[in-house]
Amino acid sequence: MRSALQQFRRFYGASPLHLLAMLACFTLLAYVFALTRDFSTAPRMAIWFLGVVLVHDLVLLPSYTAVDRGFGWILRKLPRGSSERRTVPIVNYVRIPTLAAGLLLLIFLPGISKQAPRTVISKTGLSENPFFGRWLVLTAVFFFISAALYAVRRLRHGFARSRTSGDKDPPRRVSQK
Amino acid sequence: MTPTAGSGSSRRDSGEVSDDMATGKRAGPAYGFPAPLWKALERHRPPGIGASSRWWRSPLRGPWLTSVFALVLLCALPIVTLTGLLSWVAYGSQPIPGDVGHLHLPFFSWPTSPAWLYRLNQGIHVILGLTLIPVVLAKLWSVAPKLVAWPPARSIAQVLERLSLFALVGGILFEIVTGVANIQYDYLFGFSFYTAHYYGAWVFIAGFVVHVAIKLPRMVTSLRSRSLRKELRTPLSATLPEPSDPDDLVAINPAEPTMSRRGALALVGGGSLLVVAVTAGQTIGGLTRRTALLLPRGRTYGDGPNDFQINRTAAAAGIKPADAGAGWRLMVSGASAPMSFSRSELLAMPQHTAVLPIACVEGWSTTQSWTGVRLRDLAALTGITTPDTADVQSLQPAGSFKRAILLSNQVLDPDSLLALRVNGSDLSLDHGYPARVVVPALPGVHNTKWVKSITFAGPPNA
Repeated sequence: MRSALQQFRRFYGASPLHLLAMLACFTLLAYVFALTRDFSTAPRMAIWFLGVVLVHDLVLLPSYTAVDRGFGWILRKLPRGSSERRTVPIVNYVRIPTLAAGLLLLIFLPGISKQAPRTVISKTGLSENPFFGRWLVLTAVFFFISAALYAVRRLRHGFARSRTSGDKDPPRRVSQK
Repeated sequence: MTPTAGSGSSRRDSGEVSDDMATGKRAGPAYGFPAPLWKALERHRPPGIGASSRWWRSPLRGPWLTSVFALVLLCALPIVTLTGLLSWVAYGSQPIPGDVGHLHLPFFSWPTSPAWLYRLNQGIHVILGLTLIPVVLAKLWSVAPKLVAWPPARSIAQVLERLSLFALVGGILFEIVTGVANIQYDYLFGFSFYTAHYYGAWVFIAGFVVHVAIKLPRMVTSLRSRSLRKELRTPLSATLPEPSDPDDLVAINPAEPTMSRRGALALVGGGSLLVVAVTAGQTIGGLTRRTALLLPRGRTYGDGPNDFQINRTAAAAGIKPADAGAGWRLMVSGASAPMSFSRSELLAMPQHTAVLPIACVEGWSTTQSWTGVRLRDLAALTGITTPDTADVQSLQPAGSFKRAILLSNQVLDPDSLLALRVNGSDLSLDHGYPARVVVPALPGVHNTKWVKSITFAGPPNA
């Protein structure tokens, strides 16, 4: 019995329970497929289904990774005086407002980009006009708050350093936002 | 418990051996049948992919962090799923999509009490769903190394699991994209939102259930590997990578941390809070409505009695002012001969006032004080005191919601109205003048506007 189980695992690569779970999953998927395949819009749905995965994996994820890496690279290349060696790192003061603005842009892109002005007016009687401006204002607010927090941290850091010249504590980080 | 199929990747020097090495041998990765095929696949790696394990540099990636996101999603996604499936039931005898085979919750008469039930259901579905977007993105970021790991599989089990992950990831992203587009009335995809979102949910469910079944033990183990309380006290200066793991999530070549683990959790949680802050107002309404800064349902109309959220304007619905003018008559039929009423005749009947929300599938709602004739009084006039259904038709010439069929409990509720007035004034044309249906806890689109006729069906009075 035990060796039969081991043989199964060697053949399949996991336990029989794993196979059962997979079969359950694919049976349900096949049923969904059977229910939807006659829809005239089924191909479009399939394209969108595939498309969202590809856009996330091949566009969104690589691009925000690249932006973050690129920004880190620029920061490291910036000339730094020795007195600034242990100053407050700026990276999260740029990263966090950028992510906040990016998140809102990602979710509210249809309104911000006025993607569907006619359906919005027919549904609500109002336009999508204010959204782009509001998003810009929100973005400005995020960066302003971040800049203010950074300035305060720099100042406090400066005071702390001037008071205790032998300060060995690296700059502590509080979770912003 | 079920061992994971994804754990057969190359061992590191840490000596860590995953539980699926049933043989207890530590030598090399295990290959399922047919081993030569998997070995050949491993040798023939596409250029660029091979070095992938060195691309990933984040010192925070690791099974513990992934499992924290997983736990949040494990708790919250079933709620989003369930409220979505409940909404389908709430559409009563006219659910969209209509025939879904066995893919639905058991049918039941959607209750009319509490009146805010549908509002709560959709508020949770939409706002919680939106709130999880940062968590989903963070979770996908945390497992990104698996995406380009080579070889993609070393056994049939791993091939199947990868395919099931496509249902999971594709399902959740498809649901997010269609849902997010729908609440902004952006129908660029060219298929029915309802149909796509409903079947997409079942694809997601298939992927989600099997993923949880397979990965739950791994999640529990990973969560136990570090103390959350301790992580929340660990500053950046003490932040070190997790020990290397069999799934190769931990970077081989980690960069200097720029953020602590608690900072990363706060960042994702902060993203979720930001989303709540700019969306919850469309559900809560009142003074908070304006906080839904970027949503169509965060906009306000003014201070008048009819200045509240319009769901489809009269012009868009093709209502001709002449049809809704002085010549309008309501046709009511049931057991006795059909009757017709002018608006002033309806106003002369006993009036009832109820404060009820209009709550839509998109998660927005607006609560107003409606006045009109009780639907059950109209039914009684036609000789049916216990109607099974009421078939409500609109003047609207076309569209999915020009007709609604109300169920027995929805007709009989004392607050179910054929509303003629709102907030002490006549309904405006955009809100359904001359008369509209308002039923507690009914999905917004079934509160038919510009009512032309109501047909009650059921046993005639004894």
